[in-house]
Amino acid sequence: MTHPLAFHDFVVLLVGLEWTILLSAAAFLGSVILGLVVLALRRSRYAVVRMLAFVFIHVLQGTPLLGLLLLMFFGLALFGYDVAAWVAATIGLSVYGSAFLSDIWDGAVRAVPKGQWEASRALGLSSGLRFRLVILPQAFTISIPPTVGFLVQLLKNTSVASITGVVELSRDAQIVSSSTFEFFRVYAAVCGLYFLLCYPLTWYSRRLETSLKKAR
Amino acid sequence: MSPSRMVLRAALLVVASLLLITAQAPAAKADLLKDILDRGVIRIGTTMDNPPYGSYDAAGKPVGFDIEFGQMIGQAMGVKVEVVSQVMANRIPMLLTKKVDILVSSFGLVPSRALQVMYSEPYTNNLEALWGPASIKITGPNDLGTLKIAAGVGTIQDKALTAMAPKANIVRFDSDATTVTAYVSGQADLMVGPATLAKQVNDAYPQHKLEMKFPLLSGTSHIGVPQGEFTLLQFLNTYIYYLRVNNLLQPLTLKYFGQDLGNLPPF
Repeated sequence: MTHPLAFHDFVVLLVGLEWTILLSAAAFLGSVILGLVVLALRRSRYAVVRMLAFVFIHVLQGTPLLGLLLLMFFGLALFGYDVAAWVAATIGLSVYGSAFLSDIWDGAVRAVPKGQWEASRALGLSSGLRFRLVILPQAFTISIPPTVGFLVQLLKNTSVASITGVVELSRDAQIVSSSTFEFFRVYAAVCGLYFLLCYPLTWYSRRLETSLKKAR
Repeated sequence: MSPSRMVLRAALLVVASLLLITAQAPAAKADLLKDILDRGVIRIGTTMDNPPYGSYDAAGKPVGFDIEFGQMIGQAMGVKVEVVSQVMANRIPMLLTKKVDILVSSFGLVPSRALQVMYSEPYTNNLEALWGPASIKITGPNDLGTLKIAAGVGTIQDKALTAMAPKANIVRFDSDATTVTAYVSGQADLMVGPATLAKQVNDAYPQHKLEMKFPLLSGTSHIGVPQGEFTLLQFLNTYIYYLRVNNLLQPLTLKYFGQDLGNLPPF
């Protein structure tokens, strides 16, 4: 029941591409929001809270995304929570992304020279103002390349979500290739589509980085 | 209150409410057949990258034996069919976690699987075998040596070959499609799979013509039903018996397998 590669197969891949974009966007947003929360916990004044954030980051960085997604999809269902595949994938990718982003941002804040903290204190700025006016702008510039670099990784990692049955670009590639037996052409096209998504992101991050450096 | 403290409180609140919901989750033990009839929808798990059982045609419409058979089941029950596209390796978890009501997914017989799910009467038979090019001479499991054999992970043919030849060099893949790719691209010397798959390979790649080396087991397909749902199982068995005794599965079998259903032994 296979059929020759037809125009509609490309349409199927484009629909998959749309889902990959949606899933990536949701995962980006989730990772950034959750990442900020984890960053706040990581920089909390209470040692217990800092410790919790530390454990969260390192457990997630040390476990495979595939396992996390399967836990979200099937694990929650075992406790009676019926989570739709794309919801499980979004939550899983966000949790996974937040562990990396908060770590990246924590590093960026630490990378701001200590003299900047001391100088702004000497100027009599409150701790909130010091962070907002002096440290954050500098940390922001430092964090852009690794942040975008990680978001590109996250975008490509959405392909792992196919294991939960989310029909995104990679799953559509499996489906189309097995219905046509045209593995090489289908996967070449899919790699091209992923590249078209990822390259502009990388390019934009480089531009942003240069313009921010100039502004400084 | 400092921001981190507020976040901490919110997180505690979420955890507490989740625990509360879990504690109150009703231990509902309703009858699945009745649930499906009340709902008016049956959720059928089917693998969509597995022609001729489930795939898409050139117009993007779902086609395949399991798709049409699933529609027939829905019609017989008078309910709508919701096809849930699933991955081969996740078939049993999908059923166990109630994400689908039944599996119509070229689900083959393995005794150990029957400890977790119930099987219906068989509705197809598709010989599972070891396949390879004419240039490789093999007559039985002892001739395999270090030849690389491609197999779909966790499929009945994978389990059967592993039992027959524990030392065989089996390379496992996610689906029949990737298994075929491994063979066609030369990553594997041989492959295991159903006769229908070998026929499709031979149609698509005449230069990589497969011939049967030795049979593994009869590939009967069954409907997978959650453990303990006897009324639903009884309905499905009754329906399959009705189809078989009236020869109503024959057109579907001819259409998708190009051969007779043959003599399916009863369960």
